[in-house]
Amino acid sequence: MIAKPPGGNARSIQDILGGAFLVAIAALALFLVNHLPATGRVGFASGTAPRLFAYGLMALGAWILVAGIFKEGPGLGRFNWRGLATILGSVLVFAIGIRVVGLALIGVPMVMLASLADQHFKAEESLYFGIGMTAFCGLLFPTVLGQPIPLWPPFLDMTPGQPTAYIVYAIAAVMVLGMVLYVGRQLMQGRKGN
Amino acid sequence: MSFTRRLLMAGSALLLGIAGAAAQGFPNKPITMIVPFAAGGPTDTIARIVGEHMSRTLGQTIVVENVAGAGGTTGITRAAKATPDGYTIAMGHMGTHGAAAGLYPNLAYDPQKDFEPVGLAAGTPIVIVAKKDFPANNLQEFIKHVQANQKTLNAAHAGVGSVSHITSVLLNSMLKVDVNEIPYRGTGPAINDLVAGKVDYVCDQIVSVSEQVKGKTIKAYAIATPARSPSLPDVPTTTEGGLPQFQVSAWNAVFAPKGTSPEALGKLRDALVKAVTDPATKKKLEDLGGVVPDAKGASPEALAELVRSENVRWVSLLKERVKQ
Amino acid sequence: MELLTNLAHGFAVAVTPTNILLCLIGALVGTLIGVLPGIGPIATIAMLLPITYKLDPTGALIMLAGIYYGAQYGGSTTAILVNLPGESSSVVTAIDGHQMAKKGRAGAALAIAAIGSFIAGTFGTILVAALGRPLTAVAQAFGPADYFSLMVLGLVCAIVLASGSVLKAIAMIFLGLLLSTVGTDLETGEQRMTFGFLPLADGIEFVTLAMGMFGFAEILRNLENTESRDLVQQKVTNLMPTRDDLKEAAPAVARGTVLGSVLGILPGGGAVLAAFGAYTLEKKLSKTPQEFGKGAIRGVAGPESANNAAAQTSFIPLLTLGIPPNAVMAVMVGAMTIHGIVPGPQIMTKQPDLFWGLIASMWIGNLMLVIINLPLVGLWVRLLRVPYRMLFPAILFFCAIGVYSINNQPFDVVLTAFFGLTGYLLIKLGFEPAPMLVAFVLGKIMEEKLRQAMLLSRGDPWTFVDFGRHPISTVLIVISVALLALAVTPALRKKRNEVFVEE
Repeated sequence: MIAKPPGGNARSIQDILGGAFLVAIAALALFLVNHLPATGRVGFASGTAPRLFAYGLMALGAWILVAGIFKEGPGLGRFNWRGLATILGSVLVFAIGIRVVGLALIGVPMVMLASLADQHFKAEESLYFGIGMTAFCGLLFPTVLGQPIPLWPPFLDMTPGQPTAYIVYAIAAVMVLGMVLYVGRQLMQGRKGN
Repeated sequence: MSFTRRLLMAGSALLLGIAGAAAQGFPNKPITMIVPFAAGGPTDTIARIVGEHMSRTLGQTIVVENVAGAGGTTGITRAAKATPDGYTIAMGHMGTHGAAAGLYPNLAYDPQKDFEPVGLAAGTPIVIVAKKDFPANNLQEFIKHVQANQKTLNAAHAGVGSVSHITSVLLNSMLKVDVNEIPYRGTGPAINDLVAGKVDYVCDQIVSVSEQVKGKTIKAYAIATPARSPSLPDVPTTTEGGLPQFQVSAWNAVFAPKGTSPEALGKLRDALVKAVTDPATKKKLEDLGGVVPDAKGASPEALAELVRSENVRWVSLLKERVKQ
Repeated sequence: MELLTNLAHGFAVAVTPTNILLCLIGALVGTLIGVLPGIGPIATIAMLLPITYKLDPTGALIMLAGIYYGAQYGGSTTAILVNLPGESSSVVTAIDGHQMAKKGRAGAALAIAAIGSFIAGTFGTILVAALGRPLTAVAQAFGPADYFSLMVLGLVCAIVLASGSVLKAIAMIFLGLLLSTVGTDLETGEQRMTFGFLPLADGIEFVTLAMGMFGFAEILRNLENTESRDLVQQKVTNLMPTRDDLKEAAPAVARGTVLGSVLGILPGGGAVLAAFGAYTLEKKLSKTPQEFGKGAIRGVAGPESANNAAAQTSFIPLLTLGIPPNAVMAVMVGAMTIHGIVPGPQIMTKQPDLFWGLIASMWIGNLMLVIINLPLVGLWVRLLRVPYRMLFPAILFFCAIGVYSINNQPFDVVLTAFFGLTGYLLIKLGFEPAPMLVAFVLGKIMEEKLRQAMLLSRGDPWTFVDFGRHPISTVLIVISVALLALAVTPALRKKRNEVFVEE
């Protein structure tokens, strides 16, 4: 608990927490560069600039914190926990999966998990949108732009002629076809609706 | 749905046909060659020229993947940990497989034990260059001037662990001087300040400096190879100039992760030897000032020996001269 | 008149069906990768190198150059539409450009960016052709000390970027500077703040930081604020700028062009200063500085013109000396060496076809880009009508792929998520990310140049204000101090606090 400032309850939670956050980052940085020399042969060494910046950040953070105690300011507002969890989660899923299972398998889970961040999440739409995005990006990045992004799962033998290759291509084709049919149906319904 | 089914069947039949024609065995899919430096540098250029010819021999594309960072050790670490199936190979060089062990105490790979040598691709000679108004007319005068003025002279290099850094450490230790070493981020900025006269001298690969020397924006004192280079025929060798012990070339060589099958290694080695002995490819590399090995020089035995001797040469020198 | 003969020769080289087609392909691919967040011109040019083996060197270079400036154009599109700056130069465009988009004026913002870029590109190209040699001499006069002082001036300008509290802006600048020191030390090779973690050894990637702090944080904020995101979609007014808009933007375009052309010549990071130098200039000169940060058209026109002018003049060190001033140019040098041309100071005399052909193609490329981009404005604006529940997963997906593709490293994607979280917290706590990003970009160059200057002067800190040895540096420091004094004077701070409105 922070004591109420004398003469009123005017204080800016934003600035107090913000200042404290910056002081904490600066303290972490100072801890991390503790083993580096602060000065060297020509005044500057590997540890000089990080220390200078960290001290500056700490001073400014402390200033913001103290000033926040004595002035009015906006509160924090609502935190979007659902959005944070799903969006950051989806990005982590991508990071973990991209080299393990490839773009083709990671696309749909990632897009669907990200879509969950929205209140108006529609599972079916999100599934087909994920398929569409995966197909589009799978064609665009590794194929058209030639980026070395793993497309297929590396544990599958995708050599042309291998049975696994047909099966995977067939599954992919069915999924894309499903997406096309879904989009077609939505468009038809949209036209009827108008 | 009958249309879909027919489409699928037709597709499968087509794929089967293609499959029947495709040969089995290594390689049956594209090979990734990890280049541990940014695109556009000397190692990258050599990898692309050699890789292009190897692709033709192997019948599969060699995709160059640039994984830059930490003096090339980031990319080589990844190559060391890759599945040893022959589909991931790496273009290592003098730094990653020679000097790195002396520069990075926490190196995540063993340059000698974690790799199967495929073969040497090309080396690029090191040239000693100085700003255009540097007061010395030949290598002997250069050495005397550097030794006499070591307190005020500035040698630039392209960053810790770069070829120009470790070779200039070698040169300065041979001259027994302790000059100011100014680090830059890459060869471009270092040469830029050398042309502008802000620093005094640099050691770097011939391809990075040859046109500047020809354009007379900087001057070259010696080339650290036994023979003169066709790229800079007027520049004497270090032997001619009187510093014969300064022999250094930034070699680039292909490595595969330890445990790669002999079949795959055999095909990769054949393809590499074919590439470096192909007259057109050889000429391309030589136009860049490269020294291209013959079939014997490109053999895995020769490379294994080179890595061993280079580790001996650099590790103790760098541990002594570069503070960590 | 030699210039005209040379230019005519250049156009004769560039205006062949093959080269025009290559230029078009380059411009199109460049626009595409520029629009896609994260994927940068370096990775793309590197991947397209094998295709150029079969072309003649001039054609190859024309195509690659097209990708380079096409990406500059495309990058601002994403910055304006979805607040995602893919390159350091579009950070500033995002500030007012995206605010314009939120007000339904995305079309006007995109069009003015395209028109401004074309005018700047034309001027830049003429400058490269006419004054390449003498301008090289100017650039060569800049040593490490001068660059350091230039970066200091840049940081002072960064304070002006903030529309909120000056104190918080300065704190963000320090945070950006601190983040820029993460990674291997330039001089000794020591690891700094990397937690012993190899992927951090080369420091934090700009794209990782920008995608996280701008992109992800913006999505999180939009998701909790359904009103502001719907504004983007519904209230799309006219696509093209009005006559008033053009009249308003014209002086900003002119100033941005001149400033960008000058800064672009400096190989050691001048180009990164161009965009927000122009922004600062516009904000300082404006009669209504309070409009900046809320969708001022000059805040888009100035920086966009500046960064495109800089994109053209940054070719000067490459074309006159053969020294690549940045990573993209280094890849182009690689492309040339593969074709057997090692660029050097004699390239103009030895390879006149390549030299003048490239310059002519730069103008043709800029013309193509404006022809491609103006009709695309309608398409981009329509893209904003895609329901946000589909738009944001798509943005995330593109970002993840883009960030992964920088170094082909999944860790970079994790880092982006971390910066997304941090960025969201900072916004919640009332901090603005723009000054931090700018300080991050400048910080790397600043420390490098500072250390070099200190080594060169044998540890004399007065070297930066030693007028006899470093007159440029001295003048820059004096200007910085004067600007800083202005920025923190109480009277000015009061004025700024008046315009400070919490969202």
